[in-house]
Amino acid sequence: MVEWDFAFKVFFISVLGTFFAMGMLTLIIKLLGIIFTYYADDSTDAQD
Amino acid sequence: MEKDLLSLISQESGLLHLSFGHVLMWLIAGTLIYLGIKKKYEPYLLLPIGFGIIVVNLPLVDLMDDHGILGIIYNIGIGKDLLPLLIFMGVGAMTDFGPLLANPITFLIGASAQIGIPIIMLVGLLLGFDLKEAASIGIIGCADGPIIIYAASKLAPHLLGVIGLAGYSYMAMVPLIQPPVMKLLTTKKERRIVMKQKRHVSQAEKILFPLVTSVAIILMVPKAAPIVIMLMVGNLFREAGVVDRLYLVAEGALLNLCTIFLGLCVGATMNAAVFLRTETLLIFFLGLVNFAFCSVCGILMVKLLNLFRKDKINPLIGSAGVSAVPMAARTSHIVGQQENPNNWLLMHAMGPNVAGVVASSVMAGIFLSLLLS
Repeated sequence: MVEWDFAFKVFFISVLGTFFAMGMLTLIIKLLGIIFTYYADDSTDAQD
Repeated sequence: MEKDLLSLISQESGLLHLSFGHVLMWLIAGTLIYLGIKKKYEPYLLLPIGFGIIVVNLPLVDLMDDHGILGIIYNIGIGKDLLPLLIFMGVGAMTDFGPLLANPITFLIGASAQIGIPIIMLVGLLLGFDLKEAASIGIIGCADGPIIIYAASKLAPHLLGVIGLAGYSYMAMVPLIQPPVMKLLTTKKERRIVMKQKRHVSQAEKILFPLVTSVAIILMVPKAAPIVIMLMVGNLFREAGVVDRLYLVAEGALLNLCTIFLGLCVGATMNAAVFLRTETLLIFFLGLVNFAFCSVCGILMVKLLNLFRKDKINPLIGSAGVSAVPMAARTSHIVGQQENPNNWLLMHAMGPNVAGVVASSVMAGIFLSLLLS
């Protein structure tokens, strides 16, 4: 019985933890993308 | 004197110790080698695994003892986690994370395709496996060979051979397992969705990615550190563009060398006494269900995301969230082309595919944190 309690704990933590980590990475990479796109556009404007 | 000699020969010769189980294992090994050579199913792994199975199922052979050649390689390579981690460095060096960086939302698709892992863990527990064994069986669903081996070697080393073989077998069968699931869960209209061309990703972003990801994931899940750093350092070598020698070694010689030893050792763990049990069949069955279920979760996640998006995602790329790179992405592409021959889904599907590699590292790290503490 104790093992089942622990198993459910592992289940929820692993699902939530994976989504949290991947969600954070999504935000970080999205932010990086915005910054890099902005500067890439900026450098193109400068060349123009 | 002659009688003593004959008795000595009979004791030392393997012939008299041969059992039905040994012969059955040779047949299994022969089938794997046949599938590897003739059908090209994961030949780089099935050949050494098949050979390992044959030699370890010869009577009176002590190859896997502490002083046997395979035993020594096993103890250092798998017992100390060296081989799966070095292979992961090679995987990082071979992986282009560009499609993921161009479309970061695919991180979530990669994450959702891992949900099957803890679910199958619960099913395994229900079927009588202990929690660590059930977790190792669940990890088969991540479809990532080195992670499957790494986790099984820590959580259930006695099941390593069976779990490793199930994982690699199903990875080879992705083009057979996934299409029926994909067609069942999607409409023709959805399968025809043409996705927008993604933006160009600069080299600077690609260089920053392994650094940022390593720091972020290790801060969140420290137990995932060994897997993540090896994956990301390999990728850094690739993207930096100035360390070609390191990159070429990581994705070439080192990866190949480790694959040989890993395959032989995984095969050598499968002696008849360990392999020929009902739980082996159960593990193979759970692995198959797991693979299909992880694909389902990926597809359903795309459908969920599409409810809130203007630019629709083709749900076929959801099944690529299991990290069998690049087979799962290629399968999404092929199924998409059956509906619309002008639809090029491959690069779009590579996003969730490589996201699945990262997500499965995180999931494995969380399992190890919780189950080994």
